[in-house]
Amino acid sequence: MAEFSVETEFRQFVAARSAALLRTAYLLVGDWAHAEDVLQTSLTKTYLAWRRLGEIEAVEGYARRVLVTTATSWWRRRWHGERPTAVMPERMAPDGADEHVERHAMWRHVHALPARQRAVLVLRFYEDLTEAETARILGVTVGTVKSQCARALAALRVRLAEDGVEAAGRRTVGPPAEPANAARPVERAEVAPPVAERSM
Amino acid sequence: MGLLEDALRKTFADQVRTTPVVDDAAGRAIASAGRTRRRRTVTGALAIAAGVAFAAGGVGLLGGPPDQGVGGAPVTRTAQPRPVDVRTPTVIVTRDGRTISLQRLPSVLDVLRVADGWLVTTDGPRRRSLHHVGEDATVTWLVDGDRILVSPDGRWVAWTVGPGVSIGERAGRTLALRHHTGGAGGLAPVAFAGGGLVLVTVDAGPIETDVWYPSTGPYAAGTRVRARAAAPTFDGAQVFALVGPTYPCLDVLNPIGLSMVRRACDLPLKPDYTLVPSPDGRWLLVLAPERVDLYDLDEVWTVQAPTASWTVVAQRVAWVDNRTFVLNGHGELLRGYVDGPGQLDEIAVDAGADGDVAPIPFARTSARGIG
Repeated sequence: MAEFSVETEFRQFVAARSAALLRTAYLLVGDWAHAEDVLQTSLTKTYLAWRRLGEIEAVEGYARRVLVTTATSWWRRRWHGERPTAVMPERMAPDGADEHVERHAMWRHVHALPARQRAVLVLRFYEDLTEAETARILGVTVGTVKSQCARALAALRVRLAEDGVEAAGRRTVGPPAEPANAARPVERAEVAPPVAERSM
Repeated sequence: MGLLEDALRKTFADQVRTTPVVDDAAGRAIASAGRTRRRRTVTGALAIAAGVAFAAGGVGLLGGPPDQGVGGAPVTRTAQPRPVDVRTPTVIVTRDGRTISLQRLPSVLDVLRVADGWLVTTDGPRRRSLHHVGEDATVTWLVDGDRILVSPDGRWVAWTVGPGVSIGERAGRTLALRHHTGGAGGLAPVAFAGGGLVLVTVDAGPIETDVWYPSTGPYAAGTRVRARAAAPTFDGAQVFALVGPTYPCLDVLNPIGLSMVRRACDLPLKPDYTLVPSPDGRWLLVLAPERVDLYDLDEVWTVQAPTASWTVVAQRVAWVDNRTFVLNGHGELLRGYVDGPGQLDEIAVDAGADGDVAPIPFARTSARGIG
């Protein structure tokens, strides 16, 4: 009877949380098949530890911690940087293409980062965890989370700039760019030099 | 929030906009957990069956077809020999399958494989004891102490009784006293390094480390450092220490003056984690409560991160060689490789079902003791 109850509770937990955990796993490892492996490993360990964990908050935290640890440990050595793609994304495309290319480049460079830096970015900017919560899951200090995050963002800025992508990071240092086709009033003095200059 | 961070959020959201449906993830996890539990049960049952078979005239089970476990789950026993001796609370099982009873030595704390048997540290009601257990299962008492430390090569033994610290040299079943000092109350030996005995405070308060050099005479409190020295480096010349109260740095200390030689911070460490360096000193395993991390000691000082990490509850680990280690996790014996696929292999152990199995480390001759 007790085992039945554990199974039922576990199934309810998986039904409610597995999709979210799978998405996080995918962002950590960059591949749906491997993300499913990581998820299964995490769920198996969570089930084995179910009685010990007790409250559902503890279960959620444990499952997430196992997921992140499993993902970062398996993939630090397996990840070989960029993955080749059969077709390069076209830059000439309808509206929104630049944004698509930028996000493609961003995704590629996120996965070239060291596993723990990648994990910090996913936990901070996808899971929206605080620095303290991120530190707790990764088992490091808040200071380490801050420094890893700063290093990761700096690396992304550099790599996106090298790609020639109009990276969001570059825009942060200057005024927002105007849309190319934006209509705005132009004063004559801006487009036509003084008559004296034209005559020289 | 900067634009780069915004772009990151959008990128992550884009990537997981469509999520594949995982078919019966709960069912598969439950089944996998069940297989893990059954393996434990079957391993114990096989040990009993094997014992009965040998007693009945040596009709072994090893040459037969794969055993069928509980519920029809196939259990294939590993064809490879076990890489290390193992122990349970009551027996040692050697690599070649012999069983040495430890029934006369209750509360076994530590076992070290030496050339002529095993050095077994036990916990008693008043003090700890060190015994030599021979290949023929003969037990020889060596020494009692509040704390006992055996050097990684099995040659040197340090023990404390009250404020006194003694060092003995072992040869076979005899232990000869070589050095003794008083005045070291509240200190426990943790490593032989650089010709000295590294001691840490065990009383309440901040953990501090000091060194006693027997060749210079009795112990005199030196400049203690706020660190928990944890293990000697592979050559015994220096010592690993965890420096810092909450999230310590990993330091290599020179026993002379306890000066810092190398340091790595920003690592997921706590002061009570266990450090186990590989025989060649290239790798360091760190045992945390729910995790085992592997560090590459060639690069950790610059990379500042573990090379690999496994979510496993392990209390004991033994290096088989410079690339392979064995640990006890989830009640099973697991083998890992520093350059392997990243997963831990389960090793079948016929050690009975009387408690968790732990690997026994080999004595290593590279350790430098008290010269």
